[in-house]
Amino acid sequence: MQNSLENKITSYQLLCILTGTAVGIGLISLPNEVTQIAKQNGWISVIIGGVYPLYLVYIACILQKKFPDKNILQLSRQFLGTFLGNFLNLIFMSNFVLYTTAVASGLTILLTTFIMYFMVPVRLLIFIVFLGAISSYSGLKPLASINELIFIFTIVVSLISLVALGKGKLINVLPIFDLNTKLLLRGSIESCFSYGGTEIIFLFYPLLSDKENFRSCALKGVLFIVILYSSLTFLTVYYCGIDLVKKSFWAVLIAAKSIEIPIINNFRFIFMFLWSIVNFKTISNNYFASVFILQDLFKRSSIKKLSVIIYPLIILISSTYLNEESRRTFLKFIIPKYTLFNIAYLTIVCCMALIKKDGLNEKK
Amino acid sequence: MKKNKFLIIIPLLVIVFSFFITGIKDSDVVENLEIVAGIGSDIEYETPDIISYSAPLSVYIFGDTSENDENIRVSSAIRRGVGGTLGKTRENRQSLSDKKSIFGFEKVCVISEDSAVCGIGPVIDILFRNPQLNDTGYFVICKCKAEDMLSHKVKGYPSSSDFIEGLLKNEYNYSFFPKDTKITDLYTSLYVEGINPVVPYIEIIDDNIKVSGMALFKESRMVAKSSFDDSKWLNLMGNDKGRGIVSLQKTAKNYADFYAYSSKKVYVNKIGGKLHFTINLRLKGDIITNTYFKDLSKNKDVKKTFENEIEEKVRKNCCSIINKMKTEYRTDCIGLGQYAAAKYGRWSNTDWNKEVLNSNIDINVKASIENWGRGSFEK
Repeated sequence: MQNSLENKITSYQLLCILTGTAVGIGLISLPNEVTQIAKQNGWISVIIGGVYPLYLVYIACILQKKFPDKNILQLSRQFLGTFLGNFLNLIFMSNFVLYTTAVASGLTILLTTFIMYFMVPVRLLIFIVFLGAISSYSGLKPLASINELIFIFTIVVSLISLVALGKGKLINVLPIFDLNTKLLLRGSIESCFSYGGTEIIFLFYPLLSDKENFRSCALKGVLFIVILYSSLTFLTVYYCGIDLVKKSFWAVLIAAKSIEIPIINNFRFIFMFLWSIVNFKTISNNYFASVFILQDLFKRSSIKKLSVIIYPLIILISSTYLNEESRRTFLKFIIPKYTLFNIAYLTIVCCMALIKKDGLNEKK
Repeated sequence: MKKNKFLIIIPLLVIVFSFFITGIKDSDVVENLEIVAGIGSDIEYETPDIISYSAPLSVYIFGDTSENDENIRVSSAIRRGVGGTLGKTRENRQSLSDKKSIFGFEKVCVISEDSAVCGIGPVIDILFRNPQLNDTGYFVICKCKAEDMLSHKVKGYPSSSDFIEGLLKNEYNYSFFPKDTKITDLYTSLYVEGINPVVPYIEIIDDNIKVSGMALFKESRMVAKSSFDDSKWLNLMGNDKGRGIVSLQKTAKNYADFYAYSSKKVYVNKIGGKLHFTINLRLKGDIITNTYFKDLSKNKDVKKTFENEIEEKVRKNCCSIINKMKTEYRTDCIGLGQYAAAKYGRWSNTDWNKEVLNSNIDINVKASIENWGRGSFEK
């Protein structure tokens, strides 16, 4: 009994975990992806792309209402049978493994390109994943506190970028709405993928200590992500113009470089430092989510043991794409498939739950 | 239990530390590094097809007391690399330098006029790719060779790069000079739809480094140079926030000077398939001297005449620049194309340069006096 109490998190902590899992390295390259299709209206596409996390939250609310004590893994086993359920759960887990490795390798490339060019990338990668493994090893409660702290950090980092507002030109984002809706929607599909990570709420909603606040907190979290993403895309286009965004791998950093503070010679270093802290948390969350699902599959092992076991695996996978160009091609290929899988998997489980009438009464 | 913890943590720290130390590559002690103060780029045509690139770097030399002057602690020297491509110059440069050069602190990037006429595309590409570079350095075109400009001795400064940086930093106080002429600003104007870069142009006159106008580009190639007086009006139309002096003169001793803060708004229309631009300039400013108009601060009609005359003068000058732009420079040097692109859609393969040169451009000026100074020392 005491053990289960220790594992509870508050709804505010869930909000932090939700935003913390989604906001990561993808944010820095998001403007590149969307402006290539939706041009200067990329930020509108990003807002439309927010439908995906909203849909996930909607499903989560239905499931949480019907089965407040069971997470998605248990539900899928209950509805689809042990074998098929476990198999789908395993694919769902590889989703988080993909996010962990993508963020870890992305951060390594970013750091070795800009500030740590004296470091062998693989060694940096080993260290970065190590931090994720440690926070996952220590369990849910410390992880929630880390997220709580870094959530404030994320807000500060994103506020810094607002400075670019004073330096850009409004005509860079004009004309608004000159596109046909088709391109706008295609751009929003592109932005959908950067919202990956919000799926984590399906794992943690049974662990809430105040379940009645779940819906409002999840919605607030999604709203925060959507606003953060679209405003940063807007700011980048506002400062650079779409022609420069196209040329740079990490266009957001050009906007960050425009900030001039006396004494500080190069603001990019400070921005990168803050940004890597934000990313460590993203890695930790995704790492923990993978371990959490694994632990559900292999009931006998503890989270601590599994954290150690999958550590070499994660490093092995991340080190296969330590090259920005190949990493992007790989992610462009794989992430749409995962997103489709997530939508299908979660929708099916949700439909089954609706068909099965009231789960609570059935048990009694 | 606590003892156990330390037994784990301390070896772990040692392992992590040694792990990192062995992972460091390409790093050097500071004594082995040369800090770069300025970058240059020259070209020389060996035959019309073969170009020899030369990239001089101005580097600091610390503790130099060779000139019998004990006060001189920091001076600079030129490290010049030559090669068939810009990358090869690095190899060539290292072969005559005893240290490794480190970027990140360079203050200026000086491009010779020859090199700019040939095209700054390759130079910008090599600068943009290098993540260690300081993007907030200033970018200028010089008349002579970049090497001569970087090696020019300026009294009181360790290198001419430091002087040029200060020169460009403070030039914006007058003659409507743009505030930002950094490398970052070139990134936002080169190969951008509807904009052609306009870069400060410096030359050495009587042993002094001087800003002598603006270099006008068409895409990545320099096509013209505007004189200092023309640049004033060009910059007034091209940049949003600028400051400069507009003076009205009757005789050698009777004149009035108006220190204006400018702002601009551009409207674009399409009339009969032809673009029609309206540039609205707003000048607010201070009277800094006046021996021309009597009772300027007391009489409203005089004030009105003064403002009208200022407006008329600015309008006349701007119109003559626009004529020059259409006939002589043949490039859209005030960035009107971007307004058209922002209204009629981007990436549509329209040659905005051509469209702008064939368009009608109207200029409206509105001047108003904000500040009169301490008083008026009229007779």
